Amino acid sequence: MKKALSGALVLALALGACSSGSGSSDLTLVSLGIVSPLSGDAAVFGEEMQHVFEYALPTLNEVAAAQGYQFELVYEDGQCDGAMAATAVQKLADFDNVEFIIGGVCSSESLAIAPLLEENGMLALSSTSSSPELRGASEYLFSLSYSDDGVGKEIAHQLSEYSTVAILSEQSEYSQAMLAVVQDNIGDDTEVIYLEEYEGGQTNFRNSLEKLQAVGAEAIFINPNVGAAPTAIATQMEEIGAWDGFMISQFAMGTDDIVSLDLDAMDGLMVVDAPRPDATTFLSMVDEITNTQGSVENIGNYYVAATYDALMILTDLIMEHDGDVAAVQAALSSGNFEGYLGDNLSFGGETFVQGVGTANFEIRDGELLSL
Amino acid sequence: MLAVQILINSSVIMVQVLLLAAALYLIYTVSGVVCIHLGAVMVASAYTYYALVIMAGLPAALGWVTAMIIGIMLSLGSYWLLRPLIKKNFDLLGLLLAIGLMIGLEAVIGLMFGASPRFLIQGAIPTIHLGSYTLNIVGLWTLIIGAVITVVALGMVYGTSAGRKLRAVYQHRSAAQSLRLNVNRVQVWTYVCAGGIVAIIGVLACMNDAATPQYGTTQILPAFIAFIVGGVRSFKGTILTVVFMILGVEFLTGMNFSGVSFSSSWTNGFIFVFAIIALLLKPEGLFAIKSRQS
Repeated sequence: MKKALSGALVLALALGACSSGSGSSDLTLVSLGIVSPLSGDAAVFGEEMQHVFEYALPTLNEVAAAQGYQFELVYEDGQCDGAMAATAVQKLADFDNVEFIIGGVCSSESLAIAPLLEENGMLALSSTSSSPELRGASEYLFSLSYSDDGVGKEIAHQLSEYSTVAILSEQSEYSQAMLAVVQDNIGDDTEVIYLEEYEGGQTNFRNSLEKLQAVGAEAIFINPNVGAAPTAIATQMEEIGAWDGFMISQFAMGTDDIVSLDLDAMDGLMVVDAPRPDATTFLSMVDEITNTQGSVENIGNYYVAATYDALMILTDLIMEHDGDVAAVQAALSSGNFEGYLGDNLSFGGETFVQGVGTANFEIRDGELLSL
Repeated sequence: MLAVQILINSSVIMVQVLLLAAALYLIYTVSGVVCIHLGAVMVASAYTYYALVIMAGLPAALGWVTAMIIGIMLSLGSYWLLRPLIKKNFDLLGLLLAIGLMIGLEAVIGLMFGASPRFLIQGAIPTIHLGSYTLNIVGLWTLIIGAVITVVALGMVYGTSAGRKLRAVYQHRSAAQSLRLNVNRVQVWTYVCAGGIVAIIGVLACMNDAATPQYGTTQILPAFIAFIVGGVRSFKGTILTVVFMILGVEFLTGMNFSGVSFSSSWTNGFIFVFAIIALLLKPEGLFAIKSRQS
């Protein structure tokens, strides 16, 4: 019996040795850190981005294998919180030997990890962080997101058509940065007569909305972050009714969750966001991701494209420069790239990808229409 | 006009806090423990309703009944855990255990349902329009059920033999025991009632807002403050403090006083300022009942 067992063991070991010799051991394994919110109010963003990564990874590894590489993804929960994201990056550096990160997702995550990158010999490419405060935060931090500057300026431009404005804004990193851009760029003839701010996590807005309506401003700017707030605001506005003035917001109010509710109160709300990629090949990829991995509705087409492009651009450069962080940084900073976001993407020495403008949409009868 | 609408909206919030504070009071009366974990019990009941009615598509009545059973079971379960500490009058250790239970329950809910907010009613809640005033159906039910529970609870505590037993247990547990009063039974029934109340208000509150694992903590804090500030020995004190505190703070943040206005982000700040001032003026609580020292 013992002999039979030891024979089987030798056979198993020999088979194991054969399979490792002919397979993945020849490939250089590169771990990519993914820092995104996997819990908390913004967890839906992290989860949907994970759907994009998991969809892309097998095909990516097939192509990479031909060049002698294999990529694995190490997910860390940044919780949309600076301190948590910093801890996650430190863990990736110290325990997982990760040099390349895709993330953070929330601007608060990216702002916190920026100072850690150079000292740990790491590089981060975010696909979604958009706060103007990220500009110049680190030479080793890049973002494929449009900057909130552009969206904020467009919102300010639209609001400048009216003489009085009331604002409902969340006290989050993203919303505060957006609010600052809007306030800085609003026309001299336009007066912000009322600003109502609320803490993240709040879900009862009835008194705030009543107050907002009662001030009688010609235009209203709704400025939440992702989470429960946008849906709660939309449904509670519907309860109150009679929203007659011009209303404008950013991407958080233009998600499918809200648009598909088909609320009268949301009809006519202008949403300023990044242009949405609509190439047929891209849209069929979105369908495939949805069918094989799960929904990507909430991050929207721009960020699906940005997330996919971030993975492809970064892994291309890693293979091209043998994983040398400084060389990849230089190439990202000065090179031109192709992706679903565009055929001529570049950073031109900046933190944010260049040449991405904004687009205006309107919620109408349960649909988000391009204007 | 705005003032009346703010009063209507704030009354719904007030009733939610009031019923939580009432549950805290009832349990403290018979066991001496501040069951801060009732906030998490409230949310667990709401998630039960969500799982059955929204996720599984079962009838709402079944969701309500199951949510109440879960609320009562969790409340009784916590009594079973707290009982050794209650027997030895280890009130502070009881509070510590209650905090542990709250964190543990929230963590379990987070693991089961994720941290994303869950809406117990999909879309806008049907709303009653009375002239220019509005009140949604959930708010209306909260006010009605809140009024019924408060009247019944007050009637029971002050006008029935069960209430007399309850107060007897509170005033002197060992004396009540020596008079052959079944203290354990009084405690068990109090935990059952508190669990039921908390379950009802949990489902209603999460219907009105949205359920998140930490939602109960944000609700139990003002209830706890009102319970302390009102005077832990006084049910009327707890009720009056909730009314003054919640309506006062909601008016401060809800109204626009000739251009001077406070955002809703000031709400918790105002509650704590109110608590500090009240406790500095009357450390024993605003409506505390004086007790004879032995």
